[in-house]
Amino acid sequence: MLGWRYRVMWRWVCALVVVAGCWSDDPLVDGELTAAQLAHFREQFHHTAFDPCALPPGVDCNKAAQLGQELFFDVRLSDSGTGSGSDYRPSAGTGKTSCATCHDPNGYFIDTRMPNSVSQGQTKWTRRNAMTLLDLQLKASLTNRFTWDGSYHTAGDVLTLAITKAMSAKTANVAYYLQHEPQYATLFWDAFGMADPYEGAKLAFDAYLYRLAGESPFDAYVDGDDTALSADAKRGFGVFVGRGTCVECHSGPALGDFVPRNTGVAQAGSASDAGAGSADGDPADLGAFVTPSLRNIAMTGPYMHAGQLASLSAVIDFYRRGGDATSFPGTKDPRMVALELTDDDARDLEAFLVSLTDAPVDASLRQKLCPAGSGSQCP
Amino acid sequence: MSVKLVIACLLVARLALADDGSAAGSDAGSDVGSATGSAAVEPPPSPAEMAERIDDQEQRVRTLESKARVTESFNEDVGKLRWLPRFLTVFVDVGGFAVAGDGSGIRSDLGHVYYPKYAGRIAGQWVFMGDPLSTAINSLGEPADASDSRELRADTIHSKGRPSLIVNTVGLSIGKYLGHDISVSALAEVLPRPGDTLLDVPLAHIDWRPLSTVDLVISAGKVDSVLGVEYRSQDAPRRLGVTPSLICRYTCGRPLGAEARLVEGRLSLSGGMFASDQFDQRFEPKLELHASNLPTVAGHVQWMLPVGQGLEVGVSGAAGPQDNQPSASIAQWHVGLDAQLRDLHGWDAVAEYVQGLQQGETMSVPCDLAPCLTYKGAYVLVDRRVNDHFTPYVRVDWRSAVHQHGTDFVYESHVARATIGAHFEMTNTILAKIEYTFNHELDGIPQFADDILTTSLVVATE
Repeated sequence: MLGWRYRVMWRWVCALVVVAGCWSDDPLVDGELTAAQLAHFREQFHHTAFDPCALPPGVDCNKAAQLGQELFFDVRLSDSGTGSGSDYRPSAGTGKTSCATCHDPNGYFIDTRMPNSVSQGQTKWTRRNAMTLLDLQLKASLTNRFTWDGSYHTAGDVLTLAITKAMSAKTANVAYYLQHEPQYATLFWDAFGMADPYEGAKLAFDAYLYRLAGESPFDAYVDGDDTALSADAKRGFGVFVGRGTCVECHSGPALGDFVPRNTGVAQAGSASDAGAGSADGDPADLGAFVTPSLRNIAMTGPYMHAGQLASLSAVIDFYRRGGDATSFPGTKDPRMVALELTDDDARDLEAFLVSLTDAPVDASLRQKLCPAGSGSQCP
Repeated sequence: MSVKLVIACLLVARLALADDGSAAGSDAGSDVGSATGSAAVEPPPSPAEMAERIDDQEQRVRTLESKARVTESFNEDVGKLRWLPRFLTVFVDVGGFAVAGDGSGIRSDLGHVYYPKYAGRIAGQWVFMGDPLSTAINSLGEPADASDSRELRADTIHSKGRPSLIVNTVGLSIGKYLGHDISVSALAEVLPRPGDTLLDVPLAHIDWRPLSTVDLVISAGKVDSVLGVEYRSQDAPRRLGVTPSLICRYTCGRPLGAEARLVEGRLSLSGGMFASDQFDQRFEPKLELHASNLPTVAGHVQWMLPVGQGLEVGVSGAAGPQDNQPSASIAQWHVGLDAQLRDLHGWDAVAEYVQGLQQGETMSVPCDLAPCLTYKGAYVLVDRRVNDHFTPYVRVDWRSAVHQHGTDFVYESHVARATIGAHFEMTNTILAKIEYTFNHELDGIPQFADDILTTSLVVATE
């Protein structure tokens, strides 16, 4: 027979057990995330399908895209020329570089000519790595920072950059051929009617490039298909949003927020590149480069703004050690610290990055169009 | 023989008086005159009975004398112990534990889902929710796993959620009286752990008792804390339960410094000047002297009330420059209330509340030059000594703290726990304990698996 004190005590203990039993634990998803966290990331990385024909009213989207695709492969845009204004005349046959030269359609639209080097322009190597043109519409929906230093605000601005710098030519080439090449003149008229030739050309490029997008296994996973990723890639996703802290900068549907940051990448070669700091004049941006999208990253090496790193594993090692110690301008972002990743973490992370690879875009978009009567520019 | 006869006569008289008293006691209210009359008619004992009684009484006298000698010897031993002529105690604490989940008490706020205010400033991986020490499995307060914690760098057990056996501590406590009322004592602990075996000397101090009439001890060296009461029984042989409370990390440290302790009647005073705060430095990351340019001052006042075998209520506090900071203007402070009840109808209870602040220093990102810490916490521990061997107990504790260091990390620790356990005192030198702790995260932090079952078997030499 227990005394009243014992009864009180054991009632108390039992009540405590019952209360504690009500403190149920939330199960983790894949051992890493709470359901709320997974839902958060699925929402963050999800992107709705875009309408590639989201162009100004009155523009014939298909004709514009066809024109854009033809211009994309046209080396005449890099012709040298003489004169100015209406007297401008390109020197036929001098151009050797088209957009496709540095954005290889069969190489995920990057410069594939030198596997571990920066892009080669018309006459010389550029200082910076050619970025892929895939998922351009997604990028344009998220940011107005284009190129590595973020100083170009539209895709059209980048077209001008490409023609004048990488192709060492003049934008007047575009207007000239749109007016003097019958095929282009017809397409341009059908697409835009009366319009400024160069502005129309920008829209034509947009219409074409917006079609260069695909779906990756990660997109399927984000949309709720738990089987879309391998076990390694799922663990790698956990590293990406967790111990790797990659998601702090590579966030959003593009897996990149396009904000300039100094990650401490040692300068390539002797030429100093101050990045965004030289473009916007802000000392805080010295040595900072735009955080790019990671979509298709496994297919778009070499990496970093000047192609300093040849492989994904080299990039992961770079972040594991907290970036380079010296030989870069400016001050490294304080979040660039050595990461405590295991070799397994690194392998899993690489598997995840591979899962960001889109299926190749349709072959018809990766080749030069050769409509009837197209003339000498078709093979 | 004559002596026996004298004793016999005395005994007769004594027994007669005892019988009277006994009768009066057992028959309260009876008539005194009738009792006297009854004794008058009782026949005297025979010589044989007298001799038997004398032998019996002589045996009793010998027994009492023997016991008196034992008592006197014991008193001598106690007197010697008070002045610590020499002692050496070895204890071994072994245990087994199982902790749910990955063994750690923290999870990262990946995606800044729960604390969006840190987005863009501190990586979600480094925004830690929960308490890194809430999954402690032994008296040292070691968590079963530190997981990705950035402040608690020594993941000494690193169980990854796997249950295991462990040798918690091999302890050696030594002391010696040096004369002139001066003694020295120290505690050394060996912690066999995966990887490197750790050697710790948590206590090493010189004690001086300057007054013979007042219980005053002045100590210097690596000394006990003066904050609260939990530090008094924090080592495995003296701790009732297996694990410390959530606030022990703030009050159980053993800093370098000098302190004085005075007990005068119902009043207890203690205070001192220390090179650092009184946090448990076992969990602090930097291998350097925890000191700043000025000392930390701490004190404790306690008054005993006549409840049960004593209800001690106290208040304690500490203030000084923040540890490891070059500027003395970066302050830290701590206040606490405590109460300890002893043996009220067999019940014991301890309760403490603490609150404190480490100010930190900011240059560009909050708390980037010096980490900031704010904390509150409390616990209540109640036990019932059922018999000499078995004492069940219940503890409820809570801690709410924010600890931030620039972009390196922030801990949002808001945890309540409930612990039930049992303490078995098998012999004077063998203790066994078992306890189960439920962890419950507060402040909107998701509930994750981090409950603890842990045991401890402590064997100590005399």
